[in-house]
Amino acid sequence: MRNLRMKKFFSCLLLISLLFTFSCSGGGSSTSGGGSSGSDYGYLYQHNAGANNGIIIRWQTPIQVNTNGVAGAEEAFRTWGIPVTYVSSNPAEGITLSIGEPGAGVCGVTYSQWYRSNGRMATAQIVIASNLNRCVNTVTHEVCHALGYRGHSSDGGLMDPAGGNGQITAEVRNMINLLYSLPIGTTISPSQSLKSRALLKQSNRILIPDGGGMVTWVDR
Amino acid sequence: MKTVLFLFGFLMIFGFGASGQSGIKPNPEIVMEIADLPCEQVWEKVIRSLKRNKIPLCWADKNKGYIETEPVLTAPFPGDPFLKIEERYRLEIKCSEPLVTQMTCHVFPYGLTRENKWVKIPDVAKYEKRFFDNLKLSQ
Repeated sequence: MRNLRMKKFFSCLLLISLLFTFSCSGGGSSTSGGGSSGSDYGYLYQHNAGANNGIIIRWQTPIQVNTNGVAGAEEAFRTWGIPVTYVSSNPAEGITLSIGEPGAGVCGVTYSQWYRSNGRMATAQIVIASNLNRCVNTVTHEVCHALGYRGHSSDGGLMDPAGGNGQITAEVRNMINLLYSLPIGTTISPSQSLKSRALLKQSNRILIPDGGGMVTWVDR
Repeated sequence: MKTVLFLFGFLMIFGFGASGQSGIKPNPEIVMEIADLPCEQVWEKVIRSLKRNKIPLCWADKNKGYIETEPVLTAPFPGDPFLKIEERYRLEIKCSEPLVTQMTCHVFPYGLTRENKWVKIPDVAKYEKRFFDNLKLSQ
């Protein structure tokens, strides 16, 4: 009889500890971005979240941007389709562009800061060389870095170290769209695709592009 | 019975570990990334910026990517309960690609109280942010 009670007692404890374990294990998964493929998540991890222990690095939108009149800046932001608000003074939290001397033999440089704990971008300064004769697509390339693209590609496209052929590849475009469809603080892993597909099946919602590069969830 | 006890013990240990990870957050830390500038030039810029800001170096190891400074006096933030702040910095500069550098700064701030005591300041994020902003690497 006593043995039976003990069994019941420990079974209850086991159940409680199971609940406790799963309630404490964090997570960070989200239903957003569920329409993206496994390779999109892998690419996002490789060129963004991997630099921050799996927590995505992105801005709170709309992003405050001071172009300081840099030619092609507004067009570059339109190209990426992330919501921005243009301001006339350098924002405390936002992106600032300027013309200057980025470095010896360098067309442009991006200095960005983010908070490691939640991956929220804090500031970014883009410096574009004053002599742009030999530099093409530099502003669009640097804006992509400022939006959250870490490192460089090697596929011959815009995000190659020297800007490649200037074309935005599907991988880069999808990565930026996926990044800004996920809430700030989301943790991803390269194997996220399986989880997101499962959530997509359970969900009764679909992803709708808004025409500006952003995607939002709406009920079917 | 033994299996239940074993499982219980295992899950308790695992559970506490998981709870510890999510419950105790490390201090927020600023990460700076410099894209499209050769790492060598970033190192030189940082050294120049420290000199410009009159922050004396204690030691620097270019190969390992570490810079440690001497303590410097800085102004308290508005609302700080301190008369003076003394900060020491340890920078870690890592080249992840030939044209991409990541930099973090461990700030060790101490505040002088009205009782004339130096106390360690635990919340360092705003001091890190101020340090990076004052470096003005983009200029």
